[in-house]
Amino acid sequence: MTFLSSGFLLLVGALLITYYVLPKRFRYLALLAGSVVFYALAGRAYLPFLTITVVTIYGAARLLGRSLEKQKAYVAAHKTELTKEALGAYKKGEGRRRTAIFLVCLLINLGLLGALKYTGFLLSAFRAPWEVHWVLPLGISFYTFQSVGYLIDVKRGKYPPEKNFLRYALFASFFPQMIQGPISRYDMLSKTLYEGADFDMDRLGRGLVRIAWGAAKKLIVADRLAPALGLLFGAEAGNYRGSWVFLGMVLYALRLYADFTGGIDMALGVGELFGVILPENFDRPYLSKNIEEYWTRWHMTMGGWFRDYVFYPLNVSKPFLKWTKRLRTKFGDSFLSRLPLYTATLITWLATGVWHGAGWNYALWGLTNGVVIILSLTLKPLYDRFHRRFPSLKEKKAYGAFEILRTFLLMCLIRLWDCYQGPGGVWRAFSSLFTVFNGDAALSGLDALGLSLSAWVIVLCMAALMLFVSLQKGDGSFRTRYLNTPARLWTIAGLLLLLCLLLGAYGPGYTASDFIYGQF
Amino acid sequence: MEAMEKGKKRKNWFAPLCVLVLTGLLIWGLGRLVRPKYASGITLEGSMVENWYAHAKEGHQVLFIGDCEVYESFSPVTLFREYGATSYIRGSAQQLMWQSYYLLREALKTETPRAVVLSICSLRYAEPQNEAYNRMTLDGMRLSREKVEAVRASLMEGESELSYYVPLLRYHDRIFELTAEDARYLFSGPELTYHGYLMRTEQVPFTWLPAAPLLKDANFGEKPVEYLTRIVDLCREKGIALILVKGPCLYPAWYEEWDAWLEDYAADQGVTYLNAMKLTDDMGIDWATDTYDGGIHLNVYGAEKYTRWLGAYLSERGLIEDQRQDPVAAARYEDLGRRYEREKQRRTEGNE
Repeated sequence: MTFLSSGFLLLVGALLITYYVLPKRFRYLALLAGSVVFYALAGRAYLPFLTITVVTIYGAARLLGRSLEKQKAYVAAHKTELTKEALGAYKKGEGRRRTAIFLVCLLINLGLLGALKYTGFLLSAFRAPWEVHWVLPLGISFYTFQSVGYLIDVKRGKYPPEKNFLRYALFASFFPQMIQGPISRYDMLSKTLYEGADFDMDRLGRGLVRIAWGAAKKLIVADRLAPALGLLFGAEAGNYRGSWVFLGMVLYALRLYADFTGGIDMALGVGELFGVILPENFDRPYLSKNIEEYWTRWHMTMGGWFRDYVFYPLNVSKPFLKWTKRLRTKFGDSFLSRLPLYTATLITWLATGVWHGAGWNYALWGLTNGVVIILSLTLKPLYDRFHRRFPSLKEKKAYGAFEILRTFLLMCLIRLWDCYQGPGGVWRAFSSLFTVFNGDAALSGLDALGLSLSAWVIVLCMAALMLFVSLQKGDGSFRTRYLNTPARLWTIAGLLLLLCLLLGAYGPGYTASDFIYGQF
Repeated sequence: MEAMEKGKKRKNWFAPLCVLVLTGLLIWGLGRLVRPKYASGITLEGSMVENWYAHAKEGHQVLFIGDCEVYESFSPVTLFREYGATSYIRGSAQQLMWQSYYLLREALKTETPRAVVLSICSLRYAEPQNEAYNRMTLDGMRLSREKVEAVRASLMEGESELSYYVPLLRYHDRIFELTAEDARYLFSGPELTYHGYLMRTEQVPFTWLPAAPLLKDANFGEKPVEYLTRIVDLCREKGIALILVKGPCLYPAWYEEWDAWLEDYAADQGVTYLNAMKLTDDMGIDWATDTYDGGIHLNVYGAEKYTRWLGAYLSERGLIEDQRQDPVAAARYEDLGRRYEREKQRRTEGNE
């Protein structure tokens, strides 16, 4: 089930009525029921896996919470009568218990994710004589990470665990974020998820505009480009070299952006219909001036997750701190003393790559990102020296545009891992950019990609509209600037709906392309 | 204060309601615009179902229902000229038995003919054959319970039911292929037939047709038989004489086993079954001059002969009456006849 299926639209419609008819305190139950129905419709076989995650994380978080409370109460009660060492020993004991609970729960959930997602790949990678085709529950990477993040936060004592099982189950399974995220944090999402918002026509309109805008991006750009990219990166990819590769990687960047941000817009829009504020996942990433900035603006919730729950803990873990200390003593403030930092960076990016999918390409994609980030960190002193020499350069708009273009093309190149099969395919495509570019070939052969001239014009116009909307964000979002009266809001909603229906790629002749990020 | 609150609430609903209505109208209008008009080319049949609504309240004595074995085989103009009987053909290309049932049911909401002549040729199809034929029959139906049921009975795998009610969903890509015809027939389709009769004047004599393939299963499918029985029941309930006809067409094959089954079925149900294939000599059909495609379909000369024969059959059994003295009917058929003759002459000259 996708956002654009009639089943999903009917479900949301029915849920909206139910939600606002129910008394406020029961409204979250309607969302939970809707989430269960959504998940069951997506695949009944998925439900047991989601249930395992919900039950184990809820149970473990409650145990962790109790342990923390118990420890707090014990310390408060015995603060005066026990020595510091005795209190320390008690805390250590409780800490160990919590770590055991945490690790068991983590093992169950990451083990489940790993087994379902990676067993097939590992068996084929190690040329095992048998194959497995296990079910891969919808959104398992998203809900597992969201739940694990919650468990880690509870363990860290960031907030107490949710006591109401149904409320927690809703947090873990809230249906708009099951298809492709965003990965929410409990402390942020719970503010609006359970409050049972009052009916507000303007908010409903804003939600619908966001849904329609997302659908327009998906149907008019992403799905229209899908057949052309299927040709460029499909079985006949070997026939498309040089400028075709360049065209393909740029179009893929456009498609991926339209597809992923479109899906996120729809998820956030659906949340808004119920007064639930989901976290933003993008902040005009293609306007980033370097790769580090890019990764703080693209798939922000995933980046934040890996930063908070993998990179930072790893970097400040005892072995890493010891290692850093040792290297600092030996090499001072040189490249070598930063080896632990770089190792943590590479591990984080490897994990990010593997999270995206089971395949060498994903791992290599992650590592490439890590290497480029490390290189840019290492070369930073050089950049700084260069800019000290030419101080006015940074203020020039043309230089800013150059930085944006450079980052965009760099990300396009890294994404070649996403487009071609195996390192050999990526290398052949990459090298052809410099050996057989032949710029005329791609330009004169555009019609061979299965899109009519009118379809190209539509895609380009919509891409221009997306850019225009993005550029408005500099002074507050497009919505706050232009959609500030009900008449404008609803007119735009109606126009976007018409735009989707008239210019979208759907119906016979098109296979409704699932959201690209849905497969992760 | 309360009044102000009420006013504010009303105001809150105003913009969304206006946009909803406008968007709905635009979806409807754009759907009309992009929908194929079937005004030229080889798929003229696609406009025929919609044409009936302009004649729905005329009150016809005979209603023909079915596929090409009615809409290219009977001439309502000839039937009126020779016997004074008013008639209309609700037919379209490869009209399946369940589609015939729903088209008849819809027609009977506004008229009660004395006789219904039903082509049974489509009994051979147990399931819908392709989307294009479905569309040509169903797109022209106005939204009604009959349409909804007809669509549900006809849907093929992968087809969207909603797109039959919101044509924009199916034809939106035609926005890039629009022609002047699409604007011209925006609100009402072209009327290319003569009370449902699609005229063909070419003469391509029968020479050879492939041999009939071996019949694997002598039984018709359950679904078409079920709908045939529904048609029989509907006509019985309304007191309408039902005549099942197999048209005089040499191809595709009509098997003896099917013929025998229909003889038995008609006898069981107390309705008439006429296999025109066995009566072509009585009608005077000449396969050298009366077919436009070598024996598969009749041309206008063959259709007129077949109509004359059927008119005599209906007249002898008192199923039609002479309305030529009725000024309304006479005027209507005079206009229609003039157009019919003009077209026949134009086309015949074109053929030469």
